[in-house]
Amino acid sequence: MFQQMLLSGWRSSRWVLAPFAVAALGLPLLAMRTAGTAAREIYAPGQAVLMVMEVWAPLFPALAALLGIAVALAMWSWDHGGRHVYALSLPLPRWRYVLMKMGAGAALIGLPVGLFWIGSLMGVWSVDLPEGVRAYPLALGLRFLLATAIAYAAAFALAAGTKRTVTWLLIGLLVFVVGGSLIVDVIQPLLGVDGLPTPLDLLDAALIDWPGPFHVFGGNWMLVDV
Amino acid sequence: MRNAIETRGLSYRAGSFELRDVELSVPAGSIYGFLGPNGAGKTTTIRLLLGMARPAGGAIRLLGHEVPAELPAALARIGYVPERPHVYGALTVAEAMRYHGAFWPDWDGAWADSLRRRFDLPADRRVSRLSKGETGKLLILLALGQRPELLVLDEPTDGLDPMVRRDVLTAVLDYVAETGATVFISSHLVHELERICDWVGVIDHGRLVAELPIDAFKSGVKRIRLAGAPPEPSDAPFTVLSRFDDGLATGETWVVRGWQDPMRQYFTGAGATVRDVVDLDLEEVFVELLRSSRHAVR
Repeated sequence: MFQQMLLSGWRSSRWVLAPFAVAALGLPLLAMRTAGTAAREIYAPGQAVLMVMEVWAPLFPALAALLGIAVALAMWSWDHGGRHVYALSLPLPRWRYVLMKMGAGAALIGLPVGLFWIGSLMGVWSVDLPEGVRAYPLALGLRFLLATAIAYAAAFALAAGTKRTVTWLLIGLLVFVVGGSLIVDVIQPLLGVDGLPTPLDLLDAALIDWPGPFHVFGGNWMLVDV
Repeated sequence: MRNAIETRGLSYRAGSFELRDVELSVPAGSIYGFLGPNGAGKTTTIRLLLGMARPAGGAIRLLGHEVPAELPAALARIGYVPERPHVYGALTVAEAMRYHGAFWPDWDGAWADSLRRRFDLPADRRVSRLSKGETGKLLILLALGQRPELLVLDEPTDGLDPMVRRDVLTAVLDYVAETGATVFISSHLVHELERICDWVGVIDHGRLVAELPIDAFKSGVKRIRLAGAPPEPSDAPFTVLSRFDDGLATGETWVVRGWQDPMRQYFTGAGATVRDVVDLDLEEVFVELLRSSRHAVR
């Protein structure tokens, strides 16, 4: 069953996976090649490598997020297109179908994640690192895997719902952020206090600050560092 | 198990559409035609039966299994052909068969492949590139390959050409002859069902208007041409579905249900003369039944 689910997942996401696979292999390689060139041309090679890496580093979490979201949407595209009729007619509990589908998508994500790690290794091997600078291809690969998995899981859960559910969720979020901010603006002067947390602060604390699930996107994404 | 499908007080509401107290009893081993005009509630009823929508009330039992509590066990014994194709278009025919077969415990791959050859479906062609007729055949093939005890077919031949329609229905009838499976087939193509069904249920505006063996359904409804018809048929031993002036100054035509020949005496006693008693085909019965049910609702 899982094998067939994997096959259908591959069929629905292969054209989505292809550009991500190329980018996952190419980005770290390109980043290291650029850093290597800068190290040769600039007086302080260690500093040059770090400066180039700081420019390239934000692309890695962005790639991980886009990859996770794209594969999650591709995994559900067939079900949404057929209004879930096929899935609902299958003789197995729905949670099992969803778990198998999620597992198949997660397995497919392994391909670009693996290529990202290979690209990182190849990039590191292709450049002579200046003294005092170290490469972290394994750590970055694991971070990329974790970020992709989190983006995939979140997008998969959202995409599992109907358009109506997602619309209501987004409307609820918008009302919470805009309405909450207005309420904070009104309440603060009335209470004579300052620095009440806004809804954005609360979301930030819950989702992005440690131990929020999206904290991994904001961490250190340097392939080489001191 | 006497009935393959049983519903009690089944109801559902979505917007302005409402399904009210649908009580289906589909005998095991029967070919049950579920008739109704477009929008009557046929597909909604099927979706409720198969657990794809949640009823507002009532009970459903499929092949002895309570739905939704034992839904996976029931679905493992049911072949379903939906109104719209639901198979993943990027798979080839052979892949779609393998994918489908992986989920059903009684999937018969060899037989499914022989059906594929009989239907002349190319194994390596993508589902999205199949013609409408080929897609219809593939859906029937997938449902039959499961070796189901109950086939639920939602307008399976709608939009198909006569050749494909015949191929599809022949395959279903062959399977039924071989296995004694129950078929629940919804359609608005009345003539098509007339040839194959032994039971009929009629739904209109979300209400089950009639459910009975097809012979009783057809033979009990007659068109009677009368001279000197009585003004009020209040004490008649049959149900008057409709009555109208037949265009002649002296005559009227009645469409009645529950007619038996000795009932002619009723008209004689009322001073009327029966000129003619005409059998109706299933489509005419269907139309008259809907007309009368809508009149009664009003």
